[in-house]
Amino acid sequence: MQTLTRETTDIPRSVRGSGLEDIYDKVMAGDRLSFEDGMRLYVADLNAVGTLANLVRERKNGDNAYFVRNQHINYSNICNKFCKFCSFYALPRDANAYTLSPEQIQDRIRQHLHLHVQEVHMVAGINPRLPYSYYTDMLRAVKEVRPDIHVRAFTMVEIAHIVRIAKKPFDEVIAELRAAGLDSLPGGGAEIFSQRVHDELFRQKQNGDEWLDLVTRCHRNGLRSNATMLYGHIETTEEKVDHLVRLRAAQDETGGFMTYIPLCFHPERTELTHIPLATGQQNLREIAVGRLMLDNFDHVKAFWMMISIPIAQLALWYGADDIDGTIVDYEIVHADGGATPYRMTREGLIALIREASRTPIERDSDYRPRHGALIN
Amino acid sequence: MSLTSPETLEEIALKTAEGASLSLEDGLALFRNPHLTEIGALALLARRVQPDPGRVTYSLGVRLPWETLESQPDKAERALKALSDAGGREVRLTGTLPESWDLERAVNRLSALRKFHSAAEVTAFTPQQVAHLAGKDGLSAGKALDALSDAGWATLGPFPFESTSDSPSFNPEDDSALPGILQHSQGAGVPVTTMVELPPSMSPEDRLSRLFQLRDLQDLTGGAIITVIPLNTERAVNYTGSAFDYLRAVAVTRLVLDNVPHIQSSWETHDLKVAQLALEYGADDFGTVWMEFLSNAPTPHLSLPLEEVERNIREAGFIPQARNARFEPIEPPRSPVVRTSGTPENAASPTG
Repeated sequence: MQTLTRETTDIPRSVRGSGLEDIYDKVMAGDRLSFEDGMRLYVADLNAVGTLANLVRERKNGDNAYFVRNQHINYSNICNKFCKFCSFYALPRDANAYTLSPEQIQDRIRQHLHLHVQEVHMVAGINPRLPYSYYTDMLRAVKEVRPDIHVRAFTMVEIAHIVRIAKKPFDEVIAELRAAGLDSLPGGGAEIFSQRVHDELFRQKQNGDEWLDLVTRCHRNGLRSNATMLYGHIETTEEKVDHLVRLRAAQDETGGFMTYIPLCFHPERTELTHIPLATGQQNLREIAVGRLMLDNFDHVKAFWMMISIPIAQLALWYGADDIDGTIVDYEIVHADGGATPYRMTREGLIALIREASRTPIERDSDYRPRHGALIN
Repeated sequence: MSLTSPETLEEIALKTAEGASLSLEDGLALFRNPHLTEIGALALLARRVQPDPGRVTYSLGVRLPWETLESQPDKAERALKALSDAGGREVRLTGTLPESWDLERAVNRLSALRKFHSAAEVTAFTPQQVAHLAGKDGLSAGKALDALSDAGWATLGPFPFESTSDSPSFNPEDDSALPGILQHSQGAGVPVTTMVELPPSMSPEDRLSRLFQLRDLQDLTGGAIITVIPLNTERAVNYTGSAFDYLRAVAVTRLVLDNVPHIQSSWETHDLKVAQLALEYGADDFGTVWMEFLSNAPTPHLSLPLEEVERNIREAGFIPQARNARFEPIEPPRSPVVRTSGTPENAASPTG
């Protein structure tokens, strides 16, 4: 039998012969990957890319797999942006149109007071009939019922809208939202930064430059955020790599991003039903490429609601260290009739993580272990 | 050297590349090493030494309960004609073989199917059913197998492979035992498909023991088994293990069963996304897309659109190849209908 040498065992087997050996060297040295490297990651063998992503994931987060007990509230589905990829929005006169009052939002929060919900995640459509006070009232209403809950709310599209209707300086509005209870931003609305895709799919909404400008201004005003990328529609590989490189540059500038979340496009009941749903391969590759390109992000999340529970579990070996949370009342995917269950129990998430040989850690919104301890 | 060290995986890789069979220690190392993508890479290495490693096969078929052949021959005719029109070949007979049937009756029913679809290939029977039919007519299993094969029977199974306390061996006194049936099956040109349950509730040692027995059986029968379907389900308690566990089970199956040509991924027990990923973990067959016939629907319904099968295979980096029930390449079938919702009247469990 062939004698094993250091050379043959140094590089992981999945990477050997994949054409990514030079990227492995960069990863091991902690060097930044280039745009061209990113392009190669999109065509290389998935397990090779996954192994590289896992090296970064374990360097940053060890075996930890984080989850949070959270509640989602989509306070209105009325929207005037008409994005072609959206199956959630409604017009004011549509039978399914709704807007929750601050009192109704309080009721939603009260429904889960018996659970140790750590975070409420609130995003919605752009409902032009809502006044500025609605947003501050809504935040206060949440904190009134559950003062200790972390409020992660508003995509950058909502922030832009709120600032516009407030008719006040940006910094002042952010300060008022924070004073009312806003703790952080979920990072949605980035979609993909390509101007071509913007013009084709979501031209009523802010473009990539505007999203980046707003989010960095929020960071400078003390609001941290996540960052997202919507994939699986009409975007090209170049546009995805460009998106990641621009996110990375913004993070260099502010350090305000906590987590990167690739979001899988669901075509059902949108204007893009001819596009097939992304496969498991695509889901895992987006996680892995994101982990490798975004070397200055601490966390990458596998949002199980979008990619399915089994794929989220597998993603824990393809770069993800966060599997989101228990999630109650999520409407956005399910407006399209999606079959993924609405919620996971804490025990279900823990079992899922353990079955993948990772260490489950129930976290708070800043990735601190809840109760200061790991789960035994 | 620790079971989970990179050096251990290197030893396994070398063995695999050289065509040497893996040991219990090797199998334990695979089950205990959590680095999933590395296990996947080893399984792909094992796959490369099998025939046509760049292709992933799939089949188009219909499922018919046994009793339909007599009680609803019009339904069988409709299903087979639709299958013929679509260019599919596989006819899976499901459920329990009626107790009253003897060999002649089974042969007649199988032959009748050919009237509706001359190229139809039947996948059916467990070894016990073959032994039962042979015994009823006082024939040897070999004679029964020949008669059924002449009537259009193409593949034995799929049936669940059960572990035994002893290693498989031939008993000259017992023609109806599993090794004998499988060897006769091999002689009659009827390949075998078997499922192997490897639920996470079983220890790695027990899972490996089951795989090693299967490997021994394959050696003993001269290669009767054409495909193995690894499952991490436990039928007795209706439990399906996680995707992580499943992909590892697929990979270990591919690596340990070095004498079995095909490993089938299961989009019927796990979802399509996971089944696609199983192709990265050593599976080279995507199973069968079933044409189903909805009550009051004018056209059949597919359990999965053929375009989706082909897209998933291509995106995993492989070339899709339509096959018949004997795993021989055929022209790609034609998609007869788009997927619709409803309850299929001839639906059966994935294990058929």
